[in-house]
Amino acid sequence: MLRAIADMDEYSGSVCLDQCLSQDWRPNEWRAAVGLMPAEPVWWADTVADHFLPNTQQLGALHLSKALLTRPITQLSSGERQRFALLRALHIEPKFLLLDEPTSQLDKVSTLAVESLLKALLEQQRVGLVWVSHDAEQRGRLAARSASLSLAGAYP
Amino acid sequence: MMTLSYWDLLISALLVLLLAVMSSRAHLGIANALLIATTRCALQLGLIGLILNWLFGTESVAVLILVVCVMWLAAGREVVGRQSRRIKGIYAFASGTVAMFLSSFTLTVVGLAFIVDADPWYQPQYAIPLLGMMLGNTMTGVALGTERLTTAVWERAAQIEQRLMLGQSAQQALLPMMRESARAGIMPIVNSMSAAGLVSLPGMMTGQILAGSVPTEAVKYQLMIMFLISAGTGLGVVGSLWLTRQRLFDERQRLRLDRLSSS
Repeated sequence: MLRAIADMDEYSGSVCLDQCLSQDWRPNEWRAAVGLMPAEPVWWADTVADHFLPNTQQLGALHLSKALLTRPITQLSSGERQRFALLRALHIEPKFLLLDEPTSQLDKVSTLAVESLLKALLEQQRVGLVWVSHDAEQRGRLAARSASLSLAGAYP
Repeated sequence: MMTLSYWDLLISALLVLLLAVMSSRAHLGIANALLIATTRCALQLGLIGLILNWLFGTESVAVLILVVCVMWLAAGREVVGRQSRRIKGIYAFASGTVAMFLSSFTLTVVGLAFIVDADPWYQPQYAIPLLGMMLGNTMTGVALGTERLTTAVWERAAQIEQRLMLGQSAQQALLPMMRESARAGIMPIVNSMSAAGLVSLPGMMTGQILAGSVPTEAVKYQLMIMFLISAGTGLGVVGSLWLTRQRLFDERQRLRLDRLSSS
């Protein structure tokens, strides 16, 4: 469903941002405005720095050190990779962020750090968030509105 | 010009026969393959020789067009046959043939009309061999390039989709794969141009020299052919990659792996 919102898969229905339907946007601009962070982000170059340069403030907020930027990605822990993937998604400054279990690889401390970073973004820059989570506690901490999906459909 | 007698041909054929006898004595198991290939080669080339003799004699443009179309479609068929993962439906054949038409045919016409100065420009004696060389080389380049593109896209679909999610256009997301496919497509002609004269003497030039041409004249012809071939191959490769890319993404720049056949 997140893939459909980001216009990665064909879908029926309509998605709207800034009073414009997704079809009225150029595909790549739509995807830059509606940033999707998939459950399993992909890295194609050797190091994080080859993909993008995160801003220092956000790096610190997620407890990541600058030295990790030039280390081979295969040597980073899964938690480090997941936090970098989130920063990469933020780097293109989306107006709306679709997150598919963005803290699934993280311990409690990092999870809370991610949550407070995103909350600050939501409040200060009015970035919209759709957050898919299997963690009931996390939903309780974050959600303004929560929807449960079952095979039968969505219940707000 | 020196001509070969049938006795001369027989002597060289006897050498192959001798090799076959020796290898069968040694139980190497290559004698059969060797004899079948020798016979096929003699029959096929003899037949095409007769056809060309007759073709060069007739003035019929219709026959020329027929022969040219057979060559062209056979090349398109060959390109599709070499793909392990191809675009489904008629599109794989169409993109190969269209790309080869635009490159090989255009450059052959340019070569005939402005360089060889044949009169009329479509005189079969010049048109058929030139087109054959253009098509043969372009075909190899197009086949290698498209094959590389479709397999690279299949293997690295996750990377392409990740790039799209980060706001890259389909064109940007596919660029690394396009670059390596273009390189793969022009590699054979680049290699043969680099080795020409140093490691190998190109076949056409060798044939001309054996038939009595002055080497420097033969070299001029060979160079002209090489340049035409590399321009034609490059154009054909770029064209076919571009046409294939149109089909790999839809109008919303979504990657469409469902349009690729399973291998």
